[in-house]
Amino acid sequence: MLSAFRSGALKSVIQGHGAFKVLAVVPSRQGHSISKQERIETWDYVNSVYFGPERDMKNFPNPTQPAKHEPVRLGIVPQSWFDFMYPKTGVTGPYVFGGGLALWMMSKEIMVVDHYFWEIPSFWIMVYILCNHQKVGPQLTKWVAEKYEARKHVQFTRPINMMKDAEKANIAKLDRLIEETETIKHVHQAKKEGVEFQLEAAYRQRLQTAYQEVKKRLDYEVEKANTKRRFEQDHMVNWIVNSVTKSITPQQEKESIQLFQMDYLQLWSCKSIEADLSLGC
Amino acid sequence: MSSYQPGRYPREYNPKVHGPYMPGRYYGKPDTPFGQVKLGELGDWFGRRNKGPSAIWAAIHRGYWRWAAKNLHVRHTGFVPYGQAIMCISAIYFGIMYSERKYHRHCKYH
Repeated sequence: MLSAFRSGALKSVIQGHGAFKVLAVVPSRQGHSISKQERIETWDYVNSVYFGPERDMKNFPNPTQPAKHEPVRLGIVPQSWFDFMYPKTGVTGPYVFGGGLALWMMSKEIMVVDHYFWEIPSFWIMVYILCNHQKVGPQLTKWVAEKYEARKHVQFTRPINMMKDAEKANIAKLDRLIEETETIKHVHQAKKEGVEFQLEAAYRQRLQTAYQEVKKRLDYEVEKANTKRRFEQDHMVNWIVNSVTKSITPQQEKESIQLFQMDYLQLWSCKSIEADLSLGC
Repeated sequence: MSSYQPGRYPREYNPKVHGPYMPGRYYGKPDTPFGQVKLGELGDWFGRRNKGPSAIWAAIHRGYWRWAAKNLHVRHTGFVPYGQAIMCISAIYFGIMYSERKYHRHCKYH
């Protein structure tokens, strides 16, 4: 806003010429760069003014730049002058008018044939020779065309191509960014699944540890009980055997041996009888 | 009311209707073009014209810009606009130098 005051652009608005008398409020370029948003807003505002519903495109069309000058005759005289004269005087009228006017002015010495007079025909003869020379004319045309192309390249083609390339690179970068943000979803899923795998593994590890620990304790208890029972049994057996062994007297031993011998003989005889019977059969 | 003011757009110019400003375009109420005026109506036609100095100045500017847009400010400018400008300057100088060059006349009576 301050820059608009400084550039004097608001002066006509203040002096009562309406708000639309000033369209291009260009801020002075003293360390102030216009942001993209400001440019877009200005563009939209100007578009809304120039191409609004009230615009009369039929009577006031947009200006266009023609490729060439208007059609001419006699080198420089506009065709429109001959068209203007044609309905009044015919085809030869404008020529007769021009030649007659020059002749009349020379006849009455309004146009005096002095030293200055010859500048005009000599200049135009030189121009005619240059334009119609076999080498110079085309060379001049080529030189001018080259200059024009170089200027067009510097002022239009190169900057707009640079801008286009920059915007293409920008678009590619943003596309890449969009793709990356889309892949983030999958990366997040993979990471989540990884963490879930780790949690599952830890859970199973703990289950296994708990199982092992409980099993160890139970095994210990079982082993302890077994050991205790075995020890008691052994002790009981030993005690009984010892007690029995201690309680046997030599008399008893002798008796028992004798009893054994008798039993043995008896058994042996029974065995031999059985054997005989079996052989006899 | 004068249509031309130094440094300002013409009073009749309204960007909402006329679009971007063209200095070669007349934004006032259009009259019959000069080429289509009958000889008898020429006096009336001139009577309707605005003959103030600023109006004349504005007309000269409009004429220049109309000529320049058609001939000078084209994509491939040839020699034609420069030749036309040279002839115009010659005509102006002819008028300026007329009294001086009159001295070189050969005859007193024509």
